[in-house]
Amino acid sequence: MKSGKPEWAIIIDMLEKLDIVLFNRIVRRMIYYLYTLNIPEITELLEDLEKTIIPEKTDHVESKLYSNMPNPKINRGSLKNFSDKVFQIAGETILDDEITDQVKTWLSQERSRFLSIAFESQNIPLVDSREVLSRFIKIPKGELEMSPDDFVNLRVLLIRRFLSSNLNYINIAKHHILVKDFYRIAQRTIGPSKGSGKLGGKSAGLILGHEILRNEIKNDPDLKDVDVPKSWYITSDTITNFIHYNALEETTSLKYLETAEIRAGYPYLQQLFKNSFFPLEIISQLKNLLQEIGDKPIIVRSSSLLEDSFDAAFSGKYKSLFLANAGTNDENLSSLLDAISEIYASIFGPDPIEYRKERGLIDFQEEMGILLQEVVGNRVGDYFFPTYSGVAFSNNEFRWSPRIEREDGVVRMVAGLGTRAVDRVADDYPFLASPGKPGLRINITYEDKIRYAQKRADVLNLRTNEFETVELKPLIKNFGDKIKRIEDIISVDKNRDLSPPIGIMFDPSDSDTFVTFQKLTDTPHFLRKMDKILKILSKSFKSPVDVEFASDGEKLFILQCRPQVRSHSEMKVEIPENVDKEDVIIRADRYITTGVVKGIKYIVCVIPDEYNSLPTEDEMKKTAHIISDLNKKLPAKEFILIGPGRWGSRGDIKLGVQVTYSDIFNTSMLIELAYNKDGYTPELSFGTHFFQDMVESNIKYLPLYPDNEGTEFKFDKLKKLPNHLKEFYPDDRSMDKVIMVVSSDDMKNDSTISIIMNGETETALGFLE
Amino acid sequence: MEDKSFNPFKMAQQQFDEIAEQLGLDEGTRDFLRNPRREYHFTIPVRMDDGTTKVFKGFRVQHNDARGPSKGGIRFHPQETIDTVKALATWMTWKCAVVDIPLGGGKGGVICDPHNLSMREQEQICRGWVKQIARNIGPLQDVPAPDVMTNSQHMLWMMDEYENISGGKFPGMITGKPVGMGGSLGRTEATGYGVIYTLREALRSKNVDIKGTTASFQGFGNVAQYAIELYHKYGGKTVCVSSWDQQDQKSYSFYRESGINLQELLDITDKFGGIDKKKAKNIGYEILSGDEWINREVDILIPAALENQINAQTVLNISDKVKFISEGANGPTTPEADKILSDMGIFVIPDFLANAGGVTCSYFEQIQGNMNFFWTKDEVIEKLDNIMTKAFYGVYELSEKRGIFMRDAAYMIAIARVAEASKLRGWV
Repeated sequence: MKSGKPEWAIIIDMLEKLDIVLFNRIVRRMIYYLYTLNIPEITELLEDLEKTIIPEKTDHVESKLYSNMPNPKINRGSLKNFSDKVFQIAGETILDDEITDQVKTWLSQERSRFLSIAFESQNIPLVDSREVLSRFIKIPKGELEMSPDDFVNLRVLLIRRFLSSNLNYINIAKHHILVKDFYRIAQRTIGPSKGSGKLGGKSAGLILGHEILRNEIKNDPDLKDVDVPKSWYITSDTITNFIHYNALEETTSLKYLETAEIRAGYPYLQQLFKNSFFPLEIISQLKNLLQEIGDKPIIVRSSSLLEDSFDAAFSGKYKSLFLANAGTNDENLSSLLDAISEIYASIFGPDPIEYRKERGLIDFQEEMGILLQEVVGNRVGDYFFPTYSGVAFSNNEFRWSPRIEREDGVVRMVAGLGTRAVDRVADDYPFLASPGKPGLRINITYEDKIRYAQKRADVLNLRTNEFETVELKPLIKNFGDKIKRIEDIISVDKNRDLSPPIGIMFDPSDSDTFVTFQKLTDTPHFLRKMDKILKILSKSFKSPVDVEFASDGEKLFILQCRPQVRSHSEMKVEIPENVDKEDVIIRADRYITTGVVKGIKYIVCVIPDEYNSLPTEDEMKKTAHIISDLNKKLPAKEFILIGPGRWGSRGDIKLGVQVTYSDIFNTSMLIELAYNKDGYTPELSFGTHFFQDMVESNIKYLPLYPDNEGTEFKFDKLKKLPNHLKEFYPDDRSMDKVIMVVSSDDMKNDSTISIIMNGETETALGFLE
Repeated sequence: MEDKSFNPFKMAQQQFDEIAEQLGLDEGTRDFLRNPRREYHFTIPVRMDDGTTKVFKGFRVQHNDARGPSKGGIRFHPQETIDTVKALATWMTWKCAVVDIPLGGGKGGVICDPHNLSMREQEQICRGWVKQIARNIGPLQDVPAPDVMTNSQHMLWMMDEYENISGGKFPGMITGKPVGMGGSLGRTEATGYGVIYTLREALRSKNVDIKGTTASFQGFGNVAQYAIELYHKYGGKTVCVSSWDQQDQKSYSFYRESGINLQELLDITDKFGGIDKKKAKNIGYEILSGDEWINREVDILIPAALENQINAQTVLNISDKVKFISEGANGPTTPEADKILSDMGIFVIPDFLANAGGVTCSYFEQIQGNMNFFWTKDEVIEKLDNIMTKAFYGVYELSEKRGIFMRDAAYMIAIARVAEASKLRGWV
C-alpha cells in the first residue's frame, strides 16, 4: 500500500505555487474530465457554485445566468476552495495512477502552448512566426502532445494570421491545413520581416485546395500524379511597405476619382511604380528565391485580399505575368521586380476600381499579395511550355447534350500555356470535355474535329525572354518528338482518319497533326481524375469550384483553385421577381445555362408549323438565306433567333433551319423550339452544329419546350405584332408567313428585351424592360 | 387533307416520273422503280454507360439491286424520316448506274445523335445494327459506307461484328475503311480527278485542245485542289479560285491572269481550303469578292463548293467566252439557270456524272476487299480514268443522239440501265 501523498497531488501542489496560470488550466481540464466521466459529485459541486452566484435557484436559472446583468464574482479564497474540492473529488472517485497519467498528459500538452500564445496575437511579425513554427516542427514526434481542441484553435489562429479571416474559409481550412503545413508555408513566404501581412486570396485558395487533395492523393491511385508547382508567397503588406518606401502614399486615395480620370492617369502611374524601388530586405529574399528556382520560368500572379475571397468573386481583374527567367542573375531579378511592381500598380487600374465600385468594395483596404510559381512545362527548342493546360469547372455552364448535367463539370484545355483556355481567344478553340460524362463529345465529324482544333499555342520564348503565341503546326513538325507525351493530345490525319500517333512510329516532320486530345480523353484516366478532383474540392469547399491545371507530360499540376466564379456579365444572375405578367415573353425551366442577354430590340422567329409545311426544299433553304441576310442587316447583338428544332441541322432539312455559323454570328442568342409531336418531344441540337463558335463568341443558347408545364412562350402575342420582315424585303413577301421579325418597341414603347438565365435554379425569364 | 410539305422521297419520285415518261417506261416498271425493293426496320437495345438501357431505331433501305449489290451510306442522325432515307437510296441507284458500275442503291442508319453518345455506346449501336441486319447485307448483297456522322471507326466496328457473325474475313462487306485496314488508296483524289476526266473527254469531243484552255474554280477544297492538279497536268491554266474565309465569314476570289500556281496556294491554305488572303496578295494574287469567280473570261467554269451557286441571277454574269461547265459540287446549278446555260450553248457535265469519282472509288474498295488484294494508287487512278471516261461517253452519246441536255441524258441512261437490268432478270 502506498503511503503519503500520491504523485499527482505533489505535482498539483507544486504547480499551484509555481505557475498559477497553468494550475488553473489543469483545474479546468480536471473539471471537464470528471464531468465527462459522469461523476455526480462534480455536477453537485458545479451546481453549488452556481448557487453561490445566484443564491435562490429558480426555474429561471438559465435565463438569469444569461441575462443582461453581469454575474456576481466570487472571491479568490472561495475559488481556491473550489479547486481543492475538484481534486478532492478526483482523488475519491478515480484511481491515483489514472489521475497522475492525466495530469502528466495535460502538462506535456501545455509544452506546445507557446504556439497558440504566439499566434493569439495576429500581428506576430513574419520573422517571429517562422521561428515559432520551426520550434514547433522540431518537437520530436513522440513528445508532442496537444489536445484536439488546442490543435484546432492553433490552426484557426494560423489560418487567420497567414491566409484569411473569412469565416467560410476558416471553417473549411481548419479541417485540412495542418500546423506543420504552415511551417512549410512560412519558409516560402517573402515579406517585411516585421510585417504581419497575409498571403492573399489566390495563394489561400491554392494552399487549401492542395491540402484537401493531398490526403486523397495518398489514398487514391488515380490521383497519384497530382501535384502543385513549387510556389512562393509575397505577403500583402509588402506593397504597403513598397508604397511607403517610395513615398507613393497619395496613390491610395486615387480610387475615389472618376473612372475616366483614373484611366487617363494610369499609364503614368504604372510607370511610376515600375521605376520605384523595393526595400533591400525584400530584394534579398527574392534573390534567394531566384537562386532556388534556378533557370525555370516563373509566373507572377496577383493574390490580393479581395481576390478569390469566398464571398465576392473577383477574378481576372488583376494581372498574371510570365517571366522566362533566362537572363543573367541581375536581369532575372530586375524582370521579377518589374513584374511585381506592375502587378502592384494594377490595384489602381481603372478596371479593378470600376469593378470594386460596382460591388460596393471600394472602401475595402485592398492589399496585394503575390503568388510566385514555377511554370509547369519543359524546354522544347527555344520554347518553354506545358504539354497541355487548362481550366476545369465543377459546374458545367456549357452543356452540349441534354445528358450532361451541371454537376458533370467541364474542362477547357489547350496545348501549351493555359492562357488560351482561361480567356476567350478569337479564331481559335480550346478543347472541351465534361469529366462527369467523359464519353460525350462536341465534335463528332472529321470536319468538325479539325475545324475546332486548336491552331496556335502560347509559349515562353527563352531566347527572347518573351511570351509568344506560335502556330502549332510548325511547332509540332519541328519539335513534335520532343514534346513529352504529345501522343496524348494530338491525332495524325491519315486520309481523313484521325488517330493518336504510336510511339516511335511517329515522325512529326512527315505527319499532318491536329490537337484533338484524343488519347487523353478516350482513355478514362484523365477525365476521371479531373472529375474526382472537382468533386473532392467542391465537396470540401461546399461550393462549385474552378481549378487551373497544367501538365508537363508526367504530372498534373494544380495551379489555382477557388470557388467557381463566372465572367463579369454572369456574376449576379438573379431572376427578377417583380416583372409584370404582361411583360413576360419567355419562361423556361429545363437545361438552363447561366447567362444574361440584354438590350434586345428584335426577335427573329421561324414559325415551326409554317416552316414544316413548306412544300419544297428550295423554300426551306430560302429560309436559311433570309436568316443569313437578316444576320447582316439587323443591328449586331440586338436580336435573338428562335426557330423549330435543330438550328444548323445537317442532313435532314426538315429538322431545322440549315444555317451555318456564318449565317447567325451576330445574334445574341439562339432558341430552339421543341413542340410535342404525336406524344413525343423532338430532340434539340443544343447548338452542337456550331457549339464551340457559340461558346467563344458568347452566343447564348436556350432550349424551349412550350408544351411543358413551367414553360411559357407568348407565341400568339408575338404573332399579332407587325412583321418587320417586309421592310427588309419590300419586293418579296413570300416568306412573311414563315419568318417574323418583331420589334420590342411594338410590344412596349421604348423597351428592350432581357433574358436572364439561372442555371442553378434551372429558371430562365425573357421579358420587356 | 393532303400533306403538301416538302417530302424528299416524293421529290425523288417526281423526278423519276418525268424521266420515266420521256423514256416511255411501262407502268409496271415505273411502279417497281418508284419504290424501294426492301425496307428493314429494327430496334437496337443498347446498355448505356450509366447502366440504363436505351432502344434505338435502325433501318436499311435497299432501293434496287438489279445491277449488283446495293451500295449506300449509314447515317447516324436524330429523328431522320424514312422518306429522306428512301430518297437517298433511290439517288444511289441512279448514281451507280450512270457511271455504269455494277451496284444498286441503298441507304440506312440509326436514329441517334452522336453528340449525346459516348464512343462505347456508339460501338454498341454499330454492332447492334449489324446483328439485326447481318443476314441481309454483306459483300454480295448490300455494302454500307460512312455517311452523316459516321466514319471509318464505325465501319470497322460493323465489319468486325459482321465477321464475328459470319465466321470469316469479309473486308468487302463495307467501305470507307482506313488504308491498311481494307481501305483503298486514291480515295482523296478520286472526286477531283473524276471531274477532270469527264471534262477532258468533253473538250475532246468538242475538238477543243485542253492545252491552252483557261478555267475558274469556285471553292478550293479537296475536290477543287485535285481537279486543278490534274487539269494543270493536262496543260490547262487556272486563273481564278474562290475560297471561304473562316475569319471574315465570307468568300473571296483569288485571281491572277497569268495563272495560279497550285503549290504556292496550297502552302497558304488551311485544311478547309481557306486561302490566307494577305499572303496571297503578297505573292501577286488579286483578291476579289467571292462571287467574281463566275464572271471571269475563261473557257471553263468549275463550281466545286456549294449548291445553287449558278442561279437565275449569277448566270447572267457568265462571260461569253465560257463554253464548258463541269459540276464538281452537288447541285450547283438551279433549274432556271440550267435553261439559260442551254440557251447560251454552254456544255454542262452534270454533277452526278462529274463528281461520281467518289462512289467509283468506293466500288474499288469493295472489289479489292473481296479479292483481299490491294492495288497501288496508280492502278486505282488508271481504273478510275477508264470508268469515268466510259461513263462520260455513255451519257454524251445519248445526249448527242437524242439532242438532249447532258443532265437529262445522264438521268435517262441511269434509269434506263436499271430498268433494263430489272427486265432482263424477269422482275418486271
